Amino acid sequence: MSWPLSEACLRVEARRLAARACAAPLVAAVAACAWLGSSALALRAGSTAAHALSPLLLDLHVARVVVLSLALSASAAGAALGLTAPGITALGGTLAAAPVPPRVALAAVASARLTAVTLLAAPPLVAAVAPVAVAGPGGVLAGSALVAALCACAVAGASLAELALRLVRQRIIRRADAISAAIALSAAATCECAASGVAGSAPASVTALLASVAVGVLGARTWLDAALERPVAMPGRGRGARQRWRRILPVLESAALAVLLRAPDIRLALATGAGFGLVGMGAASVAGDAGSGLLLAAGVAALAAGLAPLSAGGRVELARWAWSAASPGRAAAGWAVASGLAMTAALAPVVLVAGVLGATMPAMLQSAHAAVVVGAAALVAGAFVPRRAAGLGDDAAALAAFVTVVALFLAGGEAARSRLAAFGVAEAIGMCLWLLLACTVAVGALRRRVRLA
Amino acid sequence: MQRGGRAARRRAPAPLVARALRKRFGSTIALDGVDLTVSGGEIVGLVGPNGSGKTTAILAVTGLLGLDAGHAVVAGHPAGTLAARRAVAYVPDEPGGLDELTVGELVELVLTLHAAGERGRRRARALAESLGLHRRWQDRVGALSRGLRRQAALVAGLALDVPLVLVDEATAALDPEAVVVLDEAMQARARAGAGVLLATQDLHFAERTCHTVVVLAAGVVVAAAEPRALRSWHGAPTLEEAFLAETGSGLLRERVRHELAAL
Repeated sequence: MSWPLSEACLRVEARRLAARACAAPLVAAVAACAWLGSSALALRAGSTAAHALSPLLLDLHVARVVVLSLALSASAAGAALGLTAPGITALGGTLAAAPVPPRVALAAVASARLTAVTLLAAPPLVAAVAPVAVAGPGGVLAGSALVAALCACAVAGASLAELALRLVRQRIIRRADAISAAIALSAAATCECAASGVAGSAPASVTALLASVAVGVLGARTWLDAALERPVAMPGRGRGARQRWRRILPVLESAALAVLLRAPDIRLALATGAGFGLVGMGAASVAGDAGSGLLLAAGVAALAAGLAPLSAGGRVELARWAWSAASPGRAAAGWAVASGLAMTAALAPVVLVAGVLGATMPAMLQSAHAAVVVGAAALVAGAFVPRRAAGLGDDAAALAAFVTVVALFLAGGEAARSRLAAFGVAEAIGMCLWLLLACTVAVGALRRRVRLA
Repeated sequence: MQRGGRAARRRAPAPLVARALRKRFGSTIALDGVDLTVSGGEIVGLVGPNGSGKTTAILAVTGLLGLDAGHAVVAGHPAGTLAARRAVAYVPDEPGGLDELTVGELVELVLTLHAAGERGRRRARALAESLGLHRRWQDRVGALSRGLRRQAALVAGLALDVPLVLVDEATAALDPEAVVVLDEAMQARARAGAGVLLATQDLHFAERTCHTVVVLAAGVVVAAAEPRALRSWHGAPTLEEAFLAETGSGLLRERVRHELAAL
């Protein structure tokens, strides 16, 4: 590790966070409150769940479902982090060409972001997971093994995402791809051990702990090599693609969709969402529970694909001269439709596979409900805190705004549901009314952003 | 002592020998069999229309861009290896990156990574004072104008005592005073025995500064000679006229004028 380079990268990320906080102190205060609040809420939720789950975790099937849900989320998060990690070009030409081994330079750039994300995400996650694992039959050892297995899954997810990217871009490197696939399988086996540990087997916990360390170290090294050799996207035939969209969509919607779908980070997020959604569906189908599997898979896919609506506000700002030609309401509606279509592109394969595997209509409606809430919340958050893809501070602020808006939406939805139920309104109608209100708020917020831009 | 140094420089491998460089981006051929040689003490200018492959060639020499075919050797080491990186100072066209560092921190970081020592630091201070950049030493790079950011990158790159200096879009965004400093700094590096490879669209600067001018068009070297020789081949009064003749754009001015008048 090159300490001067790592130290400079850490300093830069810290300054970016501080600059974002100084630029929008209110958002920073809300984000800090959301972070503290989410940690406290996670601890409470974890403690509550621990009481309910601890007797059930003796059943290996239940332990497996719990570990699978967490492992899938960790893998998706790892893949998203890995794919959006800045390359060594983020150092600038002079430093990228400096006499530092490329792997070391990439580790320095990526570790700065990883450290910041870990510091932000670890407290609420540990607060939620630790009580459940510790209260279970496996105790502290199983909890440690589960946390280690989740870390290994995150690394394996990042490595697997690089493999998927190489497959998509038709740049197969047989040895590296075989290693990535082996790491993914090892991570799955580690999760199985962790599940047995959570169900009460101490030797399985020890095995999971040791295997997690091995998978994590090997996976990190494989990811570094793969990310350094990441094939660049070849220039596409954008004009042709846009012409095809224009046959179906009006010009504003097709232009907004083109802007969203050609952003590399959004494309990767959509692909990651679809990929992990499909993996989740497959795993749930193997476990024999396609219904709850769809909700889990669609949730993961929607959260990853939510980057499209979250970025809409920032993208509007980038080309304000173009959107100012249309009325703010029309432009906002165009962006909302384009964001919805982008999310649909990631969710459609998951729902299709779920349909084939026999998911029920209520499960599909619940998944659609979750996706609309995530999309609307992301649009609102992106409209108030535009994500301009300008580094960690920018991403962190947008993500904090997203979490806050989701929490507000969920709390508002729950309050509205109980109030409407008291008036005798059917739950389905209440849900539709609430979703309509959320979408209206989202378009209104976006309209404000277009007008301000 | 000085004679011994000169003899050592003569024995030292050429700062850059690149042969048959090929690079393709999808269906676009960026480099198509480009040969480049930069000797010690020589300043070579790459000129050519936009998209002719100048930046691609420079990136290939730094090792930041993989080649489809061909090879580049920097001071006797294959381009991109750690030894070759130690021998190269690169000043990019767009000096983005760790923009939250101050100018001083950025320059210090580059000098530290190259193990430049006190001599490099003195050179950096002298260059910064010549450019007037020392007054912005504590300012963050991202808060500066593009010209000042380029000056910061120039200070960091030209302070290094390395066999090969690469400067992309040498005069882009620089004010006339900074161009003079850049010219003198590159001449000083050349006098010290380093090779300089620069890409530029400023043909007056190339004519004044470069010992050899390489004309690239569509990824192919169409001419490589001293500026004076290039002018005399085409009987052109300026390098600009010679350049337009080399790239097949000799009647460009008349054609555009005619087409616009016809509209």
